[in-house]
Amino acid sequence: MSVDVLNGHILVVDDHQDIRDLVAGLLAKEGYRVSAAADGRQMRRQLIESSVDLVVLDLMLPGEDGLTLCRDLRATTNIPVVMLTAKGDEFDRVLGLEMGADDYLTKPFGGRELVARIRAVLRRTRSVPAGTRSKTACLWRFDRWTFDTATRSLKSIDDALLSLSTAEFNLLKVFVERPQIVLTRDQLLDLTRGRESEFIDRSIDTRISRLRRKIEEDPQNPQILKTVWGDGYVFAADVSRG
Amino acid sequence: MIGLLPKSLSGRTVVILVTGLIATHIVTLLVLSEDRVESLTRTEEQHIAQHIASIANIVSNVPSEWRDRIVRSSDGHLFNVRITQDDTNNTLQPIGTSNSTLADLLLRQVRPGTGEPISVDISDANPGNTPLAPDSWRRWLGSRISRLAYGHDRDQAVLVSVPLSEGQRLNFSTSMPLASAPGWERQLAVTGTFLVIVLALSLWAIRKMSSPLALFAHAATTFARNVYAPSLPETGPSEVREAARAFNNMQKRVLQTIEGRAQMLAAISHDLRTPLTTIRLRAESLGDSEVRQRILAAIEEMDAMLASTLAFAREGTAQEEPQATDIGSLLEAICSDFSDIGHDVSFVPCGTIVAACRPLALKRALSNLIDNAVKYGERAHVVAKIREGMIDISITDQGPGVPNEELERIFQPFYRIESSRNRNTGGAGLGLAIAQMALDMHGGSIQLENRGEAGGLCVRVLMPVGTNVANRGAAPRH
Repeated sequence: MSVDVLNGHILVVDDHQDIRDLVAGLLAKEGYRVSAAADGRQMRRQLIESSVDLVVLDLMLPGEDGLTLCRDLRATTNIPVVMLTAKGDEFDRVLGLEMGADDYLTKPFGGRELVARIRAVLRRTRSVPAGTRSKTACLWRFDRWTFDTATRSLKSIDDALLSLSTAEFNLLKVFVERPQIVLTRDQLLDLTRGRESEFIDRSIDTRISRLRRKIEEDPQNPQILKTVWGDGYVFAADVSRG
Repeated sequence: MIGLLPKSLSGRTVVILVTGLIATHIVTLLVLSEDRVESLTRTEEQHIAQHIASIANIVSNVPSEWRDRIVRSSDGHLFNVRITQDDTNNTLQPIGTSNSTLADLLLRQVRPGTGEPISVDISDANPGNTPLAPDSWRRWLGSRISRLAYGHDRDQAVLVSVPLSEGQRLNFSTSMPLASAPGWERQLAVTGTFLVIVLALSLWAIRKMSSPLALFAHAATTFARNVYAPSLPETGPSEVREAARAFNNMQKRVLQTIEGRAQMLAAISHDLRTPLTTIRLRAESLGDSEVRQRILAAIEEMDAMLASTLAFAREGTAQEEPQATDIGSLLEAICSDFSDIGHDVSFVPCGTIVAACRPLALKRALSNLIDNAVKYGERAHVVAKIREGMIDISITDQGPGVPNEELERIFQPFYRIESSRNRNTGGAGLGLAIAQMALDMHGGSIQLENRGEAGGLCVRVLMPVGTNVANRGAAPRH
């Protein structure tokens, strides 16, 4: 396996020795430089001693807990955070994301999943210049909608919460992150697959029409999710974050 | 007796109070009027006796030629004085036999010139009113009632004859009004005013005293649905404050227990999931083997059980804020998720149904129900509509249904029907319990119904449209 130094330096913070070793080994194999810390104190020392590109942070730590550390990190640095939690509760996910975590993994997670998430977070945060990254990167606004990726909900002006299926959520997330860009069906399939590999692949067209039913005023005459003949789809609405 | 009383506490108290009040008031009136009549009669008698005595004493001590002039000047319209020759008044009683107070007073004050007795006669002024037997209780009661009703007894005619020297007698004739007790209009006005004041005051007091009870009832109902209901205000009279404090302490204890349970389960789940992660990461490095697949499947199953145990522990202490949610889109999203991973789930679009609810809790509840239908009944058909102000969601499957004797029990936590254990469907037996807790919180209910000939189970979820979600920290106060 080729070691790519550009992959970056990852700090794993977990009080469980076994987890630290396993995750470190896994990431090292993927070509990352890995350091480990057992608690908040060690984490701070590591951050001073070397430059870290991403922190994998356990939610439950002795002494200062993961949420506090995450908030601190977010307040003082721009280092992205991937949270590890054993609770697997949606409230914790929302809380973690609100505290500024960039992503969130529930134990017991698999190695491939962890690596994929870390890669995605690094790609996302590197593409945005430091300092402009929103602290609560989970609210998107377009048309008359507010899209909350933390609670996976869509809120309209008249305030009734609209629920999205996982497939619709993933598709919309891909679109709001790439407004005004024409995406082909293959690209969309590729971008939305990733995480939920157990999902059977409905055709992109079916998913698009479902999503249109929810967000378009007139689904027959879409203004937000426009079809580009021969190429694919484009998210035509202006998107703002925060 | 109790059966005749009104149902509410205030109604009962008012009835008891008013009855008691009227009774005591009647007795008091009787006693007071008795007293008043007696003292007024005494005064009247004293007054008449004095008047008669002074005239009689003057007349008997002046020379006989002055008598006529004195008598004439004393004679009046209501007080007749005459001098008569003896024998004309044989009917008069000798004083010795009279037991009247007036006679006693006269005897003591009049000093007649001769040894002959003074005679006194007191009789009814109106001969039509024949008195009953003097010792009859009915006569007594009759006179009391007539005093209350008319304000007076009958007037009494008083005839007194005082012997003078030279065979003459000095005769007095007057009437003694026994008007004494106040008139009934006044009695009624007094009693009425009294009643109104007492009634108003007691109603106010009862309201004030029983409102904490209503507050308690409300607090207990709210608390049953939401352990985070705000605590009762510890104000008011000491007993109410004491009860409120006791209630709040109980609430605190229950909350501590529930939170303790949730924390304990969270801790256990955390402690189990961390080693589970290490097992998984290690198993993944085993390479593609059957052992690896089996280990991963077992890990998955353990994880699902931990997740539902955790969800169950947390359901009661959910901290989710209620918000207006499109229930139609919620159901559609859940159904899409199921059909997207290959399950046979159909949903009949129902348009927009907006209700205030906790979307994550409701989503978990409905997902559990649809999951059951898919697991045990092959497929789920979901219909939602609004009927009589209730959101009515029915989930029907094609499975064998649930034996009637199990219909109640399957809501119990960790309970699993024997057949479902054998079928290796997994799960901890918490899905329905979690769903029921979530719907309880929304003021809704879950009904199970075997469809008989048609086959399968129909799960109906009823929930008020204007769902009064037990709201943390914002329950209505009185």
